[in-house]
Formats: sequence, C-alpha cells, structure tokens
Amino acid sequence: MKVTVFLGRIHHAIKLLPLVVKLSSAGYNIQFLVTSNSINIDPSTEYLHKYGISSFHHAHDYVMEHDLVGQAEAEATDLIMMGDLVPYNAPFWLASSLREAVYSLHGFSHYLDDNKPEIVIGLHENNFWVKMLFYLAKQRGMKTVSLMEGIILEREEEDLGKYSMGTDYTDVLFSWSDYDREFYADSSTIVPVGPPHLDEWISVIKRDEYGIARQNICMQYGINSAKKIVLFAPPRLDLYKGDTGRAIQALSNYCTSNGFEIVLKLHPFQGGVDQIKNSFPDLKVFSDDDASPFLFISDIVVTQTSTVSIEALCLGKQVVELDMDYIGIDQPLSRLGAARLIQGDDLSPIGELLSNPVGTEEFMKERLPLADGRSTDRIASYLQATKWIV
Amino acid sequence: MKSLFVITTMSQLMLDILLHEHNENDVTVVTPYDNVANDMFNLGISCFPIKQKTMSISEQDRMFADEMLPGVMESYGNFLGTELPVWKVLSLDRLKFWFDYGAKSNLDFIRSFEYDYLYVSLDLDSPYPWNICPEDAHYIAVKTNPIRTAEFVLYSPRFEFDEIWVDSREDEEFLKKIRMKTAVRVREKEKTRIITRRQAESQERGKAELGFTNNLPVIGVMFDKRDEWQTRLFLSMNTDKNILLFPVDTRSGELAKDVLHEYKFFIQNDENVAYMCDEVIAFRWDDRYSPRKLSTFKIIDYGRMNMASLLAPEGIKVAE
Repeated sequence: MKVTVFLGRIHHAIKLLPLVVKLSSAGYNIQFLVTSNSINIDPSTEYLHKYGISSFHHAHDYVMEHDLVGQAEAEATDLIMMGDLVPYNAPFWLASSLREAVYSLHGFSHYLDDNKPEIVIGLHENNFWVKMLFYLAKQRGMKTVSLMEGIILEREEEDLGKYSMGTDYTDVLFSWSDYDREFYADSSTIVPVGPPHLDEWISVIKRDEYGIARQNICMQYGINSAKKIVLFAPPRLDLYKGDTGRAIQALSNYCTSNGFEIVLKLHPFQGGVDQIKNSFPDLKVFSDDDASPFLFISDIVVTQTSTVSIEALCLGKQVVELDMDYIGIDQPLSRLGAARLIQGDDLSPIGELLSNPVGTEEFMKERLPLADGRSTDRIASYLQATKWIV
Repeated sequence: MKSLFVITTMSQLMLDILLHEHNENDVTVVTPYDNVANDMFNLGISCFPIKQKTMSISEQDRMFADEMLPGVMESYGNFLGTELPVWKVLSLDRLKFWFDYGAKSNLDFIRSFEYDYLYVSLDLDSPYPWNICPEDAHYIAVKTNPIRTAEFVLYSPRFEFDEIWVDSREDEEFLKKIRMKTAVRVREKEKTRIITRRQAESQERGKAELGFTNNLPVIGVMFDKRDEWQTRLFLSMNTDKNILLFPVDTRSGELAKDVLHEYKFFIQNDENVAYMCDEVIAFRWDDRYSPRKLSTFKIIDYGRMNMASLLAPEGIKVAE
C-alpha cells in the first residue's frame, strides 16, 4: 500500500512522523513529498535531515521534468492581473504566493500521476500546500487523511470560520477528542484518536521510565533535574498578552528565590532569539521546534496558549495561565478547573501547585480520554479496517 | 505646489529627491513605520508618524474574514484548469500572516492630505505605496528596494504610477526590458571607484595554496539555502570537478554541512578567494553576492525558475 506523507514545514514532521513510524512498521510503503516553502526561507532538507530522512520527492523535480516553468510563470502572471487590488497586503506576498501555488499545483499533479499513491497524508487541510494536494488527490480518487495541528479555538471558528473550511477535500481527519467533531463542517469525516505526536512521551510515563528519561533530557539541555522545573512557554512574543519582559523577569526572580529551575521555551517561529537570550543572560532559553521534551521534563507549565496547556495536561503536568496585565486568556482552561489562572504580580500559586498539585483526571476523562499513548495504534487500526485500504 | 511623500522604506535616491522637493515645493512626509520615522528624525526631517490602531485578536480576525475570506480574493477566481478557488489556498495560510490591520484607517488618514505630487517608495513589501490611488495628483514611485526580483517582474503590469525614478541607467534598461509602461526617470548616483580583483596570474598559485594540485577545474558555487534544490542538482552533475562552496550566510553554511554531504566539496567562507576558481556559479541574481563582479561569474538558472536572464544586469553570463 503506497502512502504519501507531505512534510511542508518542521511542525508537519514533528506531528506526522510518529504516525509514519507506526505505518512503516505495519508494512505500508511510505513516500515523503516536499516542496520549496514560501521563498524557501526554511528549506525542507533542514528538518528532513534532523529526522534522518534522506529519500524524498521534491515537487520542483516534477515541474522541471515536465518542462512546466514557462507555463507556470504565465499562469501566475495571468492570475495577478485577474483580481482586484488587494488593499491591506503587501504585493510581494500576493505575487510570491500565487507563483508558489502555481508551481506547487503543477509539481503535485505530476507527482501524483507518476507515483499513484493510494493515500495522501497531510498535517491539516487549512495549510497552503495541503489544500492543493488534497484537492488534486481527491480528483484522482486517492484518499486524503489529516490530523489536527493543535486544539480547536472556538473563537477562531466564530471569527474566521477556520475549522469549517478544514475538511473540504479531506476523507478522514483524526482528531484529539470527540469534542472537536462539532466544529467541522462535515463531522462524519472526524475520527477521534487522541494526540498521536505525544504517544511516545505518554508511553514513557506509563512504563515508569519517567525519572531516568527526565534526567537524560535535562542533562542534554543543561537543566538541573534535581530541582522542580518551571517551564514558561509563551506564544510568539508579539502575540503575548501583556508585558513579556516583565513576565519573564518576574518568573525568573520568583523561581530563583524559591529554588526552582526556570526554563523559557520560545515559540519555534519567534524572531530575535539571540536578543532575548542577551536580555536574560541567566535564564535557560530554548527555541527548539519541538516543545514536547520541555513539557515532558517540567513540573509546571506557565503559558497563555491553549494547545500547550492541553499538551501539558496530557503529560500530567500542572498548568498556570499567566495574565499579569489583566488582559484575558483565550479559551481559558482555568475556567474548567484544569489550570490555575494568575492575574497580577503574585506568583505564589506556582509554589502552591508544586507542593499540592491539583487533580486534572476528571477534566482529562471528559475532554481527552484518548490521550493514553495509543493514538497512532488507533489510526493504523482504523486504516487497516477501512475498505479503501486494500 | 504641494508634495506628499509616503515613505515606507528609505534610500539615498529618495532622500535626494525629498531634499530637492523641499527647496521647490511645500512638502509633507508621512510614514506608517517607526523605523522610517526614526531615520527621518535622525536626518532632521519632520514627518507624520502614523500610530497603529490597537485591535484585539478577535477584531483583527473578523476584519480579515470580511476583507479576505473571500472578500476581494474572490475576484481571483479559480486556479487554471481547476475548480479550486485561489482564496481557499492563499487567504488563511499566506496573506493572513502579512495582513496589515492598521492599513485601512492609515490609508484613510493619508488620503485626507491635499497634494499635487504624491511620492511613494517603490516598495513591494508594504501595502501603502500601492493603495493610496490618487485621483488628480501626479503619482511618482522612487526606487528604495531591489527591483531585480521575480515578484517585481510579476507584479509590474499592475503598476499605476505616472513616473518611476531610479538611480542608474542599468535600472532604466531593466525596466525597459520587462516592458514597463510607466515613464522612467533616472537620477544617477555619483560614480564610485571599483577596485578590481587580482585574477589570472595569481589564480594558479591560489589553487595550489588551497590544496588543489590535480588538474581538474575548480568551480566556486555560491550556496544560498533558497537554492538548495538547484545546488543539489548541480553537484550531482559535476562530480568530476573540484567544488568550493561559498555559503552566503551562516544558516546556509550549516545546511550545506548537514544535507549535501553525499557530494564532494569544500566549504569556503571567504568569498575573497573566489578569484582562484576557474568559474564561479550562482543559481540566481542577487546583488549581495560579491563574486558577481568577477569575469568568471556565471548564473545557471535551471528551468529559468529564478528568472535570471531577465533579472541579471547586462554582461552577466546566464545559462539555463
């Protein structure tokens, strides 16, 4: 059975590779498809290399092989001339995105025709490339499978209709829980399985290997594992609600004076990382692409991001939602009793939670009952049981 | 007469024209960007910095949905030969990242000025120069950013300026070459001396110093991470040559070490030794590459994907 897995950016690889491992070991023939992303600011090979992937198909090879560059440029020019003036975007992004889309459509079409996969997997359909790839795959009668990028933000559905647009060309979307079903236009495509990218981490905890694994990861990153670890994982700082510098300094002071280890994990797309490191020279600052190892080693996670909060809860961590400037948290888990909200300057609830952790079992049982380390097994079983897998 | 300058990026040419206009007309300068306002302040030029309106994320998203889902993007129709609407691909996962939420009110503010001449930065990275749409005034774009890019060429048929100012005859020629319909005016910058690099006689000695004692040609390859795909193709076809790879930045250097190791090459961080090469190859035109001034410099534009024959100045060799 031939399965194409599209890896457009590093977070696609982080979220999809646990499933790839499972499907490979179950005997599926996996092919990786990549393309040049945007103006190729982050070349695919950078992250393919990190994960030891040396064999892949590049959409541009198919554009070249079929001598389609001239045609693609002509189509992009026609499209640019076709529409009205886009008033609030820089023209660069319209021109470069249209050009990139036309190249991708030609490259993907010929890749699919030449390789004929039965199943095409992409992280999520609201992605620029996956929308095109799934459209083309569906046209050819191939099955399309996606996962969830993060948890559903109800506000985004209300304001943007984001999730309603997320299954136009998807046959099956494997979600983290049954709760997610109602947000998608076609709920029959939603199959709850749990968060597959956390399987391995959850399994380590279940196998009672947590202590030694934590110690190893801490050693790798130069973090003191003998102390309680407070992880501050803010969203990208331009999206942080409040004064980030004040929050980082306050957390750093609080943890230092109480004997806790403070770790700052920046968003992978955060710019100016060196400047941030220079501003807080005593702080352990990381901007790695995958947050999971940091969530895994921490005792408490301080954040404003719902996906990070849910992932932390899946790994059995205490969660603090930090709102020092009283601006408000999007979709707060504290309202559901699964996290502690801190507003203002008093950070003592961090110490209290570390001494007396709050039970989150009820919340997890109701909202994420499938976060048990077996999500990829469920996907593989579903695919094997489905008729369209022959 | 009144002149309004809407400056989103600055250049020496823009400054020269601005100072000249100050002597001739009643000048107002406006910028939506703090960095430009600071530059103006440091130059002693007064300008209106426009403060961005603060909006909540929810307000931003609703505004984006109104304008772009599909909004104006519906006019782009479907991709050729498909029933896939352009907006479904571009809006949410491309244009949303760079949507300027303050532009609507800022453009209204800019339009409220009275002027006879409107000068804007020829800046594809900002929505402002393109969306003021003056009805009666003379609309002039001044070169402030690189123009030899694929995006510039693709977008150029949409230009609605009355005039474009550039600072060299080469730029004027380039705009003619891409069939720019707008009138082009040149205000040439001062001629500067160029120190040419040593070449022929020291080339052989240099090669030996680098350890190339075989008789195979030495090829320098400008390695830019944007062209990783092209580099891979070139290296696979040139295994019988000595390859010196010149990474154009630190990240490209790291990438070369990580992912190109199946091919034989030497990484050389000092572009000054490029004169020792029999040939120096790049895969695109970029005026930041310093070996472009060598007579041995050549661009290989596989499949014409980087539009090098169009973008490179006269005299640069381009193979496709």
